[in-house]
Amino acid sequence: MSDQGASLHESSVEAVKRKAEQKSSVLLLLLKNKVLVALLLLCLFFSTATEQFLRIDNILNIFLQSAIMGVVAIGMTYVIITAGIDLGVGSVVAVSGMFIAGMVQSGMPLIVAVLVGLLAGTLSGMINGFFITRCNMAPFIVTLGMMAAARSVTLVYSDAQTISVYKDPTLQFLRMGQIAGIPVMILITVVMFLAAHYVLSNTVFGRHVYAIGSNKKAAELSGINVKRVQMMVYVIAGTLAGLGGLMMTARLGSGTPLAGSNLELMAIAAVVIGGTSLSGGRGTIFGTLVGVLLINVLNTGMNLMNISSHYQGLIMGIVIIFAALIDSVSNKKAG
Amino acid sequence: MEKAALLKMTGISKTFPGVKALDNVDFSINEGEVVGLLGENGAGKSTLMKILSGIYTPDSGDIWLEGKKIVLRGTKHSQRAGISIIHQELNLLPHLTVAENIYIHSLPRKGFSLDKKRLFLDAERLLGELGFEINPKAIVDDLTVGTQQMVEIAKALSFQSKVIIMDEPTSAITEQETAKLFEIIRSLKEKGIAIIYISHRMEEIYEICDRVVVLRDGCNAGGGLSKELKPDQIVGMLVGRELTQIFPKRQGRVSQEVVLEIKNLGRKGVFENISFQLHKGEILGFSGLMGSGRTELMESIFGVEPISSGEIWIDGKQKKVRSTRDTISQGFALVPEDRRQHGMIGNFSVTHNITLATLKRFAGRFRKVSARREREAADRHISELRIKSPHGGTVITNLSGGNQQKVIIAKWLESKPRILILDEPTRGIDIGAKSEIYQIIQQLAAQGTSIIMISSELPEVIGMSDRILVMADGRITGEFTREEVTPEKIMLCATKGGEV
Repeated sequence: MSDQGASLHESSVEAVKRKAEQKSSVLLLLLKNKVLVALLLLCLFFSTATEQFLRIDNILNIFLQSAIMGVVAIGMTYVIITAGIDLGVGSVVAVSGMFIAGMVQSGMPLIVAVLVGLLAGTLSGMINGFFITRCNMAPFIVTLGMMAAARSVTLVYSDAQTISVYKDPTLQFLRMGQIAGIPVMILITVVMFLAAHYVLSNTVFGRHVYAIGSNKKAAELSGINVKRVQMMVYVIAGTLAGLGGLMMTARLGSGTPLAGSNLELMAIAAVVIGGTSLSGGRGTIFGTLVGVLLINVLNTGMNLMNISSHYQGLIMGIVIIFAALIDSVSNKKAG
Repeated sequence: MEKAALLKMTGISKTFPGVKALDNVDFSINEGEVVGLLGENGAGKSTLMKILSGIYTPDSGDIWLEGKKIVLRGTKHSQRAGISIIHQELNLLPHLTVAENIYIHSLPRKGFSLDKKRLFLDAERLLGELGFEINPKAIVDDLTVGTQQMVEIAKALSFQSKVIIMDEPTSAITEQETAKLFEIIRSLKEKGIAIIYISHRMEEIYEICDRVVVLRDGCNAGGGLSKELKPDQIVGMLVGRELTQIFPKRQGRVSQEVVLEIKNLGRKGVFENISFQLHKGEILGFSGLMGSGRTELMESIFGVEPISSGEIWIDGKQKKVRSTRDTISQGFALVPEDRRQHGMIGNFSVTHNITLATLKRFAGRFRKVSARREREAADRHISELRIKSPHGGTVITNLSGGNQQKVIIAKWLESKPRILILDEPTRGIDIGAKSEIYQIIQQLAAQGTSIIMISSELPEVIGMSDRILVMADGRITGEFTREEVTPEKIMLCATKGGEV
């Protein structure tokens, strides 16, 4: 009897404990993700400050805006976790978007155009990877070169003109189509985020990415093929930039020579806001998602509030620095 | 005659989340005294010294300097009060000159610019007073570790330090440099400077320390004048038990089967003409001075650095070794000398460090790594190697040095190596963990693993190895069996290669 009583008592204590743990795990999630809290506060602020913010079309618009930056930022997250950087992705978005537009306009089948666009991204990643891994060059300078070169290729290919492909039905579907009420563009991005998260946090490759960013020499001495993993992250970043180019061309209905300008910098900002360390070894795909949304919520909110575009850069700059500050302060405490 | 203590710490306690690092510890040192601070890793030595150098604030307890009670706020404050610390990993700026490093805290200025003339003159004068033959204009990176250490000492004295803490100063320097260091310590002593000397090497304690203070599990565990203490008494204080024999008895017999044969291996300017055989289940010791090419040789055999001549034969077949992947797949494993820089992934957990080299084996469908199987493997090693860690999810940097080393060894045990190369496997590790690591090595050899062990500690290499090769200046200069070897024979061969 007393035994049973004791075990009953124990189990009820455990149940209470578990409940407390569940409660605190939500709290813990918020505490751990201070940037997520910042994002929610920002949403709260805009939804009280403007009437349009919470409207479904505005929310969809925020997600649409986030789609291209999100895809590019995924690749950037991989690169930055290996302690690298890719400054070329904005220009690669432009070049692959322009290739796709140009080929569609000249009557080639869309599938070929898309493949060429994606492959252009992949190739740019391979070129970056080659110089970084085989010639031991600094990622910053190699990808800075890629940034200039790819932009130039875009201008040469298009003769600095916009190439309109507004009427292509498949691109229209990408632009406006919906599956189960969700825009295709958003679906693509969500799938990419899920896949990227899976690979980074569950696979051997993902673990190797973290290991290299944290201690390259120890990774090499543990038999990890450091050069191959590094090559892979730049190829992933380039290919995703190619996909970003496809999405950009679909969204705008044209290839434009200045597409994706500054996109690499916004993607880096989103990744860092999301808690990925520029010195490598630390970061998550979920954090990057939060970072991308934060930037786009702020952009959209400021437009809704009719804040002069002259001030928008200032506010964005302050928010980026503060978001990164939150992260660095909370890390210091943890360490 | 009883002098008032120069520095006195009383009732120091410090608690970190989950660990009581120091519990009511007392410590004192007199002018011109050298006190050896001993303790296994995790005993609280470094916490105590970090309190003294202003990095940590104690939860309770007082610090008295020259009879005055002081509260240390930060490292700069501690330096100004006259307490300097020379860390095991030297804290110099490698690309600056010696003079700039010495005076980095208060560079002389002329208007807005650096007063280079005065800087070099000051440095030259200081180095001269100390009798150090170092060019103040030399770039620190170009100096040997031993000379860099002298620069650190000069830097400490530029603060007018009264107390200098030396954290394992001899762990990375040659015998000659150690002798020189001891000379310097003796002359500092004459100047009335007090030195707190942290080391794991018993001979050094006896040679240089007037008195020892032993910490164990965050408490005072004893101490006394070093000339009145016997080594086993000190070891008893350290581990809390009498440790008669730290080298375990050799089990099993070495077979005649050759698993690895190196023929005339060379790497330009680093080592040349290296030939040796390694048998199944053998412990082959590599002795020699720092810089004799032992580490570089092993790196080449393991596939990290390319060779320029010679052949590597594994199981009677010649193999091309191009990368660590090649050798690891042949059953090689290497526990590197520099645990922090080359051994562990600092922000990985214990579990993830253990599975790093064999991760593919834990992957299932869609290359998904099974967290459960990883945990099981890690837990098995944690209990078998008695790794002291709260659980497998603990970040490796939170472990003591000895336990970090066991994690690195566990990483390679998971790959079930046939040839295990250990480069200074017990450097900077306390005696308790050392003896455990020796047991692990012996067990592996008894099970048929062939082991190459580089060690600069003569008792270790003599006590552990079946056969010993000595290297000097990139060549093998001697070979001895366990029966015929003596420390003198090794030293003779180690210094054969000419000047070091």
